[in-house]
Amino acid sequence: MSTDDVEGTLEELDHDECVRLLAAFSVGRIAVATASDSSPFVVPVNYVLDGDVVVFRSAPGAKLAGIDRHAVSFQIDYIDGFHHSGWSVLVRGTAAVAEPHEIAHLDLESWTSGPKHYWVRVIPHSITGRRVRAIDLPWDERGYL
Amino acid sequence: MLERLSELECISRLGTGCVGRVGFIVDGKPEVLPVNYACDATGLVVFRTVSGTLLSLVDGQFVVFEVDGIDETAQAGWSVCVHGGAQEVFLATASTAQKLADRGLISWAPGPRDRWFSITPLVITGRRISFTGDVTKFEGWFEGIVS
Repeated sequence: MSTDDVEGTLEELDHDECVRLLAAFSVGRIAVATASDSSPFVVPVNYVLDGDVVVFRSAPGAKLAGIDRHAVSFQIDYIDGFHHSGWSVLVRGTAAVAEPHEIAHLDLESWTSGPKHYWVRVIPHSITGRRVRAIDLPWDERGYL
Repeated sequence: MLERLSELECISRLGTGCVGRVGFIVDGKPEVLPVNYACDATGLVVFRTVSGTLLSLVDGQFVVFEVDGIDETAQAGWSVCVHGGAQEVFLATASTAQKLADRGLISWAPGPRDRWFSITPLVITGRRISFTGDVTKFEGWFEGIVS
């Protein structure tokens, strides 16, 4: 442990808070295991939240094309580099290509531009989150302004 | 508009961050966990954790390390992925890690983060996307970034 570590606090976020944070954001990262002996694939995607189900769009031929029924993780976070604090939420679940009736109420199609896209739902098995908060730092005696 | 980033550009962007995400596989399922990190000019990434965490299982695994900068309002941003082998680093024998420690790899989480791991890059990829049209069309990252 180096001497410049600042002791912060680490707290678990409850399910409701995780869902609230998921609802407030619009970009997260989807992780897919491509092969058991390989590194997973991690990419940022836009998403919308439907209850506690993350919904995002993909297209045939994309690397996420084989995602149906695969175990996936979906992650969002917020990082405050100045205050050494932040939070992250992790959804572990199974990807399912959405049937039209499952997403009809989300009115997603009006946002898309091409006919080839399809929508993927992440059916959550668990939703967990953590927040790291720095302790209050002493005032900088040099002052501000 | 989607643009591939050169390896040099990727490493340069890697150097601007302080938190990235380690993607790895446990029991066939992908995990993505944020970590504080430091990196060097080759794209080698070093991060810390403690025993008993999922992250401490990455030793010897092929993992991905992702950093990004996303502007949700503009639906624009970039993403860099380092794919490589994760190895536990023992400071007494790892001069590179020591140099990174000297450069100030600070863990924000409490407690002694006394297990060090490096990710030695095999493949470094990056994309930048800027959306110049109507943002209400909800485009941007989707298939463009993953194809």
